[in-house]
Amino acid sequence: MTAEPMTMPALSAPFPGAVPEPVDETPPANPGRPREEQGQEETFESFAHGLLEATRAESWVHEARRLGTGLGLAALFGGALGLRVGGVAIGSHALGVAAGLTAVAAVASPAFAIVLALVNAPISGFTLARATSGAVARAGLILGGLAPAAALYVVTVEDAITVSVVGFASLALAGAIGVSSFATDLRTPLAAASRDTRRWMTVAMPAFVLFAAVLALRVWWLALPVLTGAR
Amino acid sequence: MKSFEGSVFDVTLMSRILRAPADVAADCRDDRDASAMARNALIAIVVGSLLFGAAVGSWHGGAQTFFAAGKLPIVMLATLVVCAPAFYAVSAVFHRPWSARSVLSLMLVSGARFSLVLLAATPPLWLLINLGASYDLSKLAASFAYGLAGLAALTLLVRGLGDGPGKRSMIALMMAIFLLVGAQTSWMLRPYLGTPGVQHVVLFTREREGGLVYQLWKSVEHVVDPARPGDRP
Repeated sequence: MTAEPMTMPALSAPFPGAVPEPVDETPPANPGRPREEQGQEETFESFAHGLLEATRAESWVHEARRLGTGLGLAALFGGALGLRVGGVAIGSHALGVAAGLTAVAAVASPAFAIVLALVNAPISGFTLARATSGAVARAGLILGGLAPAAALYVVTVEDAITVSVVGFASLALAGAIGVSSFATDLRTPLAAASRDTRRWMTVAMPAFVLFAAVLALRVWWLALPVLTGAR
Repeated sequence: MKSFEGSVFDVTLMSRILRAPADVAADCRDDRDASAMARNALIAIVVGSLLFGAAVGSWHGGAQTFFAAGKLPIVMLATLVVCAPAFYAVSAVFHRPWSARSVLSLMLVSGARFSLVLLAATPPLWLLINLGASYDLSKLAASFAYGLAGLAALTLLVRGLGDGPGKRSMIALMMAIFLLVGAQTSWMLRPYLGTPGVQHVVLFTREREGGLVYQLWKSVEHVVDPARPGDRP
């Protein structure tokens, strides 16, 4: 049971003859929000909030932590896929799923940085790194969340095709969410770019997304034999 | 609104879950009285699905009634446990980074609403079976009740999401995850009705039966055309 709040604004009408309750006269810090919500807003931060929200200050350590956490959560999903075979496959599939995201972050993203410089886009290396770590964190969080459901399916279904569909659908969903996050994070700085740069970006961004998708798919195809029927 | 002092089960809360899902969802989101809400929701989930399971198992009767009554609450709770991390992750990615407590209480009260609707569907289902409904009709009636209960739970979940970006995508995604996990969990622990033509009762079957969707489709075919040759004994 939670404690009764100090003030009870208009939740229940007082009965006749009732002594009015003392009212807290101190002005609220944020008049647009109910008083009881404000304290929670200031003090509370969930794990997901800390992972997904970028800090205002430039902190490479924070971004590296987000990247590492995202990869770790993605590895949980890989481990769940490996449960179909068991043993070493749990570890190898965990590494395999993380490898797909790592390939995009370590290969595709730096290549995209060169393209951004070529078209003179006003995006710093840190902004790109932050967008990349945010995308990996979101994709990893989704994959980590889906890991128990994936484990349920890979362990209990009889046919291999269901495992492939569930596995690739989950990876595709996480990839789409990651790409969406990446594009959203870069949209604001790109809005300040020149018209020529923006025109180039209408080609460069879809090309990057396509390249990243094919790269991740190729890595997962090679590293996740449970999904491709090789096992 | 208050519950009766010292009572184990808060009937007022159940009434609020049915009548004012938006208010209850808001309480879950804001983490108000979460432990009491979770306790009452768990009781509702177990009792509602247990009685519904007993009604389903009464088609065969005997030990099957108790087996089905025991398995349905496990299906419900297992589905919630498996879906909880997915719900937490999906809500966070779609700009709702709530605490795990808020997500869990929202899921539990949705599960309670689901079970309360199952509880309401239990007497009609039992009567249908008692009047001699066929295996296929009983199975479809139970599935229909499950579908109605799912819609009722979804209503609460949708209210709980509040307004904000990505709401429709999130609802579609969560529905897909709940359906897939719920279907697989219930399929794993079959049978609930029993097997037509088979007198002995088994707790679990490991027959290759083609999956849940295939079996529901076969039942529709049998109800529409009872003379159709089937692939069951």
